Amino acid sequence: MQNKDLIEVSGEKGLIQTDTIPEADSDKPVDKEFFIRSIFRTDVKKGYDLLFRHYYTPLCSHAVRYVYSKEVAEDIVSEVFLSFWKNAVHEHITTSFRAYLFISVRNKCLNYLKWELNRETSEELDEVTLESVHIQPDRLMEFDELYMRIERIIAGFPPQNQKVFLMSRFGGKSYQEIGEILQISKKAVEAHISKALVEFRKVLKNPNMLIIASLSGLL
Amino acid sequence: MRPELTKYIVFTYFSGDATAMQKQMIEHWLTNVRNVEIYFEWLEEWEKMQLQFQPDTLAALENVTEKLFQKQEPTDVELKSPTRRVSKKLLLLWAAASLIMMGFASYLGREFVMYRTYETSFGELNKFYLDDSSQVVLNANSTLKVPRWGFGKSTRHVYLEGEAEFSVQHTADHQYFKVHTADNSLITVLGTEFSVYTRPKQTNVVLNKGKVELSSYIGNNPLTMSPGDRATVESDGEIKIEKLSEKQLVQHAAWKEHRFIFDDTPLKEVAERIHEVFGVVVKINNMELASRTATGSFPAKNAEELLTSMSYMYSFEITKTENKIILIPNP
Repeated sequence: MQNKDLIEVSGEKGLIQTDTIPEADSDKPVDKEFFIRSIFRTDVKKGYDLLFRHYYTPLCSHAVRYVYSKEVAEDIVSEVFLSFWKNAVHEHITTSFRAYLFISVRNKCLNYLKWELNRETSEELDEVTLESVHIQPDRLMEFDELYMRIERIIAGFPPQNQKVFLMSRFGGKSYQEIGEILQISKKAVEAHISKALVEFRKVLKNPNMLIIASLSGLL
Repeated sequence: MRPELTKYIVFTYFSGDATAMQKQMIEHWLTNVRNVEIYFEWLEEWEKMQLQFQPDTLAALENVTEKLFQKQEPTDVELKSPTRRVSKKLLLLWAAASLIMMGFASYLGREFVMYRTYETSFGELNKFYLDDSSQVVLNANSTLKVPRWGFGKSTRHVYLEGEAEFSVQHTADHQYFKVHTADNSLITVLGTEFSVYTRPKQTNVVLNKGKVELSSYIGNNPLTMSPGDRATVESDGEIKIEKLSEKQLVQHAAWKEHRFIFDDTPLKEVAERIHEVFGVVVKINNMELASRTATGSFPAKNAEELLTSMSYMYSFEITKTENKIILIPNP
């Protein structure tokens, strides 16, 4: 019995992780998505489901570092998956699914930030195209720098300010509700939020990075 | 000899604790495409260890799948076209893709991310505050969309389908609060109490307090309403204003207490109202019964409760089938 289980477990692991890659593919990265890709070949919907279940959580967790709202993060990730389907990305993808998804989520987060800081409702969000997936190392690292910066900004808020900001953004509460919970006036909540946003703009200004420069142009 | 870059260093980097030297190493390492893939692999791994929150994946998947297949249904028709060169599956996918693209490209980019949507199902009431402290009570089967960002910065715009009562806060900088309805009417206020009904049948506004301006889709000069007025937007875009009696005003606000007040209302209209609020189809097969009128105040949280209490007074029987209620006059 136990023996049989063992065999099955290791068999499955071999299928997903493909520990041994054929020599011919050695210029390709270690293929951990082999299993998902093979499902896509036989049943697109099933492959899509699997992809979603596998990446939804880490992608949301990543997105929220940029947008600081669970709701928006989930919307952004769902949108990326919808566009994955509508563009049948699995048919002409050249990178891993993982790289495509992470890059798409990051681009959408950046667009969201631009839109948010710009406070313009009329601006359309750009579609992430497959071409934009081929990405320069410095651009990758600028995206890293961006979420780290945002984290530092928020960590730098005074405690009450941080609390109000997180309740509003992360907890999705209205100013009124926050005021009731923290026993402060709605005006005070507003003051905290606008102070937080001023900090945000100040720190995101003066960048020496391209993508952040594209943000600060709007500030 | 290139220094060895370990996963540990990259994780340190993701956490924002890498030194300048390490960052330089990583930048160099990333020039190799193969390492970019490893970078994302590690990013995923690190993210799973450092989860910021635990979203409900299954609910989200259901949601996304629903959005995909809702819009996909009409593809059956397109598939009947005699293009046989492409495989059926591919065609289905492209048909789905193009349909979703057409119908959704604009919808998703904006609606999904741009608006926070408050929705009530049949028979449900929802009372909440907006960021400017204005209070909204949303009646059953209604939707209110509020821009996620920018609301309360210059003008406060909201988009309503269904019925809602607003208690709008006057802001220090005298910001307008604008309600856009499904039939492109526009209600402009500073700080007042009013209710809006906007369903396929018609749009009307009842003002309790303060002052509002109402314009219809034809864009004539907006009409100013006074307290106690009910303005109805006619199908030709004309606005009709009438003064409501105290009794009618109470009747108008009754839904907020899950109560229905009728005043010489034909049962046919009662049936329409039930359909709007509870989503239940009420069929009256008897002409005479349909034109019988009801008067009175009926508390009810569902269609059956309401009809049962009415059935004694207006002597009819109710027969319930799946999602449909039939009224039969008593002999």
